[in-house]
Amino acid sequence: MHIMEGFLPAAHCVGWAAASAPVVAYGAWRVKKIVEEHPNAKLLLASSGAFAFVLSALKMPSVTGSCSHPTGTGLGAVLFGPSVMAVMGTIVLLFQALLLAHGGLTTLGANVFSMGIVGPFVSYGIYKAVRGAGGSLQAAVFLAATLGDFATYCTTALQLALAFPDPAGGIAGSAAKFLGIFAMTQVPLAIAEGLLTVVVMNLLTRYSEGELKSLNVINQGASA
Amino acid sequence: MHLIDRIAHTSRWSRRPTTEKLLLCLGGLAVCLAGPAPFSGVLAFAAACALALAAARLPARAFFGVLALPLGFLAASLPMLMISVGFAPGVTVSWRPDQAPVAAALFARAAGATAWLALLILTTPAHAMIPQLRRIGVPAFLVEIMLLTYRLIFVFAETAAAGYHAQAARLGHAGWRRAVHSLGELAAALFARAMTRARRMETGLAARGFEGDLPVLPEDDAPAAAARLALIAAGLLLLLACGFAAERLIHV
Repeated sequence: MHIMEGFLPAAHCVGWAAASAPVVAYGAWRVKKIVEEHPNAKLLLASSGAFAFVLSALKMPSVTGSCSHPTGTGLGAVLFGPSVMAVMGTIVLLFQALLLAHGGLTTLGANVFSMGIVGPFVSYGIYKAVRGAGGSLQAAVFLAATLGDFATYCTTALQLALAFPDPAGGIAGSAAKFLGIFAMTQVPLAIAEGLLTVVVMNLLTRYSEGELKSLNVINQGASA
Repeated sequence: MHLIDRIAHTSRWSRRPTTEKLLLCLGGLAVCLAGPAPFSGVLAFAAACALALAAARLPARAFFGVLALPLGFLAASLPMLMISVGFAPGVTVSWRPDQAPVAAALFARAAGATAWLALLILTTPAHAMIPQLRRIGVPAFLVEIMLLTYRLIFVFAETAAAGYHAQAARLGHAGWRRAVHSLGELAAALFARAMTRARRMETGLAARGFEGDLPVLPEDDAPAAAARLALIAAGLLLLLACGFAAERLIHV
């Protein structure tokens, strides 16, 4: 759910960048610790970042027949942990702007906030909560990916509402307007991404246990 | 992605100093945001198009092709600003033609900014821009990770495209259920390949005495000339001034 280049006024660009910066800086500090302890984690992180970028560029079939792209925030949060995901999300969003003209440089802070911070943290919290309550891996992954996407859309709607308050209903009216549009277009996509993430996690736990273990370096360092 | 990257590497401006291009294009973005809407947006859009087509000689098809998708989304989202939702009393939905100036200002600003972004990414390869992040305080280890990520993106994109075509040739994307399953398989296979590749790089680098740094020879980046930087800054200020002048003229 990218906000395009130039869509937000200057003050909002600066504000969202300032809101995202501490979280990304904390994530970078964690990455630094991980890399100092395990120099090989650099290769793992770069590989994971490239994977996340390519995943987000794949076309996802939508219920309505049109195509969209998975955000990968749910999968990323579950695999890498949310604070590292904030850094990787920033890198992926920057590359999406530079290589695909998708999103933008001035709106990078706002997009990082919704897709690199709120989405992954919500996903991770739900995943941990469902697993902690004894839920199955499938249920936890589905809810984490779907609700993580939801949280991202709600954040984006709020960001747009703050930038473009409604002349009659103010920010609340504008938020209702943008949420209404997203409810129609994005909710089916969030559910599709939830199902997709379950398929991916099923296959990974069945066939790629060794590869998942190699990530322990990152997510154990990140959750500490 | 491949088109943008290819043009960035082969354009007439690809060998120009990165600092100059960054100053020019980020400055252009700043003018779009800081100047009076919609005048600055329109002027900045025209300036970016003129530079892209006349100075950098970018292929018009590619330049406008990059612009088409975001501008299409932008145009589609403008009616949203003309619809008003209120709560007094009860929920009311109305069409507000008086919001047209807000929508026009947004369109001009976003179109101008997108044109400057397109000019930047079509003239400057990403691997030339990333090391510049060191100047704004991004630590070296992150820049190293980003440069490696950039190189791996193309490797994985090729793997993903090959996998996608192989699946499609076997009717793997016929029908919604099968498409979701195929895509899941593709993502899982890609993940396994990504992790395997990371491990292979580890082994290869360990054999060469890897201790944590990944030094690469920087490509020749022509040094920025102070005179040209000053010229660019002056041009940007002129563009900004033109925006304010246009606002005053048209309002009076």
